[in-house]
Amino acid sequence: MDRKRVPGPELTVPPLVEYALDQKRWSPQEECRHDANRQPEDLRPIYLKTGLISQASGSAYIELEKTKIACGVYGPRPIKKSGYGFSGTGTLNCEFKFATFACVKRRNHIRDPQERELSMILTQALTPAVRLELLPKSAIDVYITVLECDGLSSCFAAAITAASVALAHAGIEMIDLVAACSASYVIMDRTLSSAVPPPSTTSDSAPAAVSLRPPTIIMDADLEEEKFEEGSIMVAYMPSLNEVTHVLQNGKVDRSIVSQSVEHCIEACNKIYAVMRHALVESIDEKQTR
Amino acid sequence: MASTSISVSAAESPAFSFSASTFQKLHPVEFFRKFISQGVRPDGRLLEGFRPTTVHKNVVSTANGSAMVRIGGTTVICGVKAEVAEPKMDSPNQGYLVPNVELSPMCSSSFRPGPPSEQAQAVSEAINRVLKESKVLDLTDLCIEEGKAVWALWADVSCVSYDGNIYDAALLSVMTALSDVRIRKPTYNEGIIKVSGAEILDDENSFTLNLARTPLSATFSLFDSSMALLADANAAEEAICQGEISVTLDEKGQICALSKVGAASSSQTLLRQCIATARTRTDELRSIIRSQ
Amino acid sequence: MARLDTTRTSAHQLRPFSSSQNLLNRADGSAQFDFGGSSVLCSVVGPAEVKLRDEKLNKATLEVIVRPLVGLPGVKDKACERAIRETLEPIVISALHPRTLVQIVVQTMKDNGSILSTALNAAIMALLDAGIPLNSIIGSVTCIIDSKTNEILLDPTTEEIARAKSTHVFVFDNKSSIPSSTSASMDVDISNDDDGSPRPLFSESTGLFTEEEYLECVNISFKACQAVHGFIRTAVSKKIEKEHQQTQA
Repeated sequence: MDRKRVPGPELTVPPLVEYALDQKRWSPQEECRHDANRQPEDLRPIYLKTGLISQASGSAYIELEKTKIACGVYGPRPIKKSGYGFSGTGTLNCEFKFATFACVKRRNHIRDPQERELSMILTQALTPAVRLELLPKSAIDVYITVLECDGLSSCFAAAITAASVALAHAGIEMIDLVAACSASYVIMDRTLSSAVPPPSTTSDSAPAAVSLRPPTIIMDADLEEEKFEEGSIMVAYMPSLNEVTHVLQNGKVDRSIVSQSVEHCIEACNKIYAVMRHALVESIDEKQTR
Repeated sequence: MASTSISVSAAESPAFSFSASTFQKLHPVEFFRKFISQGVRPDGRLLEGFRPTTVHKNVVSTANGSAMVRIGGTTVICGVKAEVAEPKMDSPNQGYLVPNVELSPMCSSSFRPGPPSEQAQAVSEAINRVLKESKVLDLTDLCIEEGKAVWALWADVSCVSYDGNIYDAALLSVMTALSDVRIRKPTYNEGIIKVSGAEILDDENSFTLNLARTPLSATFSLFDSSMALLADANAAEEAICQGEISVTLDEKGQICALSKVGAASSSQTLLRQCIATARTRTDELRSIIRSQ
Repeated sequence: MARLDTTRTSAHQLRPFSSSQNLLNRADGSAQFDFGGSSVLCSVVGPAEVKLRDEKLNKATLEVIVRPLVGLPGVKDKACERAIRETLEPIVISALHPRTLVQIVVQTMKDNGSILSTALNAAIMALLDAGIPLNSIIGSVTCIIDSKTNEILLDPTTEEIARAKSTHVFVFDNKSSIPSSTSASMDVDISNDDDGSPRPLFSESTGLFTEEEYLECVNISFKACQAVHGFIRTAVSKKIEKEHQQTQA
């Protein structure tokens, strides 16, 4: 029991949702995506702004329609804990947290294993871009709070994007920004406009349990679409260096689809990069006019 | 401000001067006192001036009710989530309303990761007491099936950016979010609670909360032995103030909570002044909510 | 009008209070304070070594730990700790012991209402017992406004609090008649003149009430606090006399 918070009931559960039989709900059987105006390769419009958190060294806020993420960067500041000894390079700590109300089911205040794992991945995706060798004996703390999550992997990709913008906003030296994008594999009933080639026949893997149709690669999937996904991929990428810092893939799909979706993601990252650059230039303009 | 310089020179000692920002770092209290003696504050506000405040309802669709509040540099988001719980044995028809304030290390460098700080706990408890003692919500409204199931409303406040006066911001966000709450009407059948998944919520398939009153607050910090009253202090001002007077009022002008902590003893004139200013401030907040 | 607490005949009557100092031989100071059926034991250690993290360069750090009657401390106790600490901070002349710790542990022994007031009174007596330099003595009382009769009842029991419309805790120091400090360096006295009325040092009110009701509570509690101040004064002087006699003998 948590004694440091106002106590509530020990266990609460969300109620069961019952849909009327005639209720229209989206499924991959339909001809379009959940948002009918989006093509499979389309991203949601991105709103990205820096300088939301007044006390932080750098901060960024990103919104992909419903998904909302705030990110604050503190540092570089001296490592306070004495046990660490001397360190020639700086350290980057990332903490990824969902607000309790961010998801469909209520989340706990205490970080769960999933959040801890995502924090670690976030560190791995961002570290290659930051020039930590210039910051001996110091630490940079990156805190991310997801205020609303509409699609887990797209939300995580947005968190990486926001974190790298916040790092830049804090004036921390980096070799490049890190843009991230996610894609989901969904088996659509009718193949959508961007046709996917049939699975490569040269693959010498066992042909067991082959799904009837090749999945469609859907960029930046939302929560509804994620429910029907076969798997997903998230790519973190440094656009001006043309280097990938992290790939996170799950689900069973043909390797040709994986390599194709990496290409798709990189393409999307280049689009996101333009938005990131714009947000940073805007923040400098604001500073100058002030 | 950074370009101006303040010369600190007593008549006999050699004059030396440095930039205002250096002076602020070296002697924050003296720096501040210079402003207060002129009746203004470093951010340009008058002593009784509140920072610009905005309120937005329904900002998080995954919550049953939500609100974002900005008071100057302080930004908080409150999301109220309704889940089903078993009622307490001694109150089988009463639901739960649980407010909690989270001051994460993201919102300011003065907060450490880990369990909630004393400040976060004190603010959560203060809001909890206001909701409970001034009977904001009749908890029997949250009953689904007596003795079996009730709604538990988790009103969690997440601080995005901290720049002082968290109590006012958090209470304002909780009250706005509660007024925004819409819960799908439940059906109880042999231990299973179901709600309709209809996309459009109306009064037919859902209900809103019947709030008896909307307590809102105004907080003043007490600076120095002169007990100068600073309305709506920011983080830097809070750090050098010794005490605080906080007045919470409902729409009829009744006081729901009043606290005076720290600093020296305060005269009744001062308390009266706080209550009067709080009255205008909360009226102003109410019109901000209404215009939403 | 009869009170729920039938042992008392009048609304403004306090329960008999009693105290004993120097109960714990391992602490630097200790005191127990009773308001009828409510009792709080308080110990003070200090000035002692302070953790580096809490160290203040120009004054002593005050730490308050509140232990409830049963179970482990929760949010309520944390809020109490903060209230006690912030009330005592301006009372303790902490500048005399920079970079040290004064730790106050408050343990509830019996709870029958007005616990925060009992704790504050116990804390000030324990500080006196420990010989921590103080600039004044505080006294605390609780009062409620009854929801049925609208009467102000002093020093309520748990039963009476359950029926209250609002609850008010007050602390007054014993220098109330002294005008607000005349800081020589600055002339920034902004309408905080001394109006001769009772000046609460700490006030915490919840429930529903009007401004007039609140100010009436202030006045009534102030008078009751005079009795508490008088009691503390007598208790301390008696104890010192006794100690003096013992050293003489």
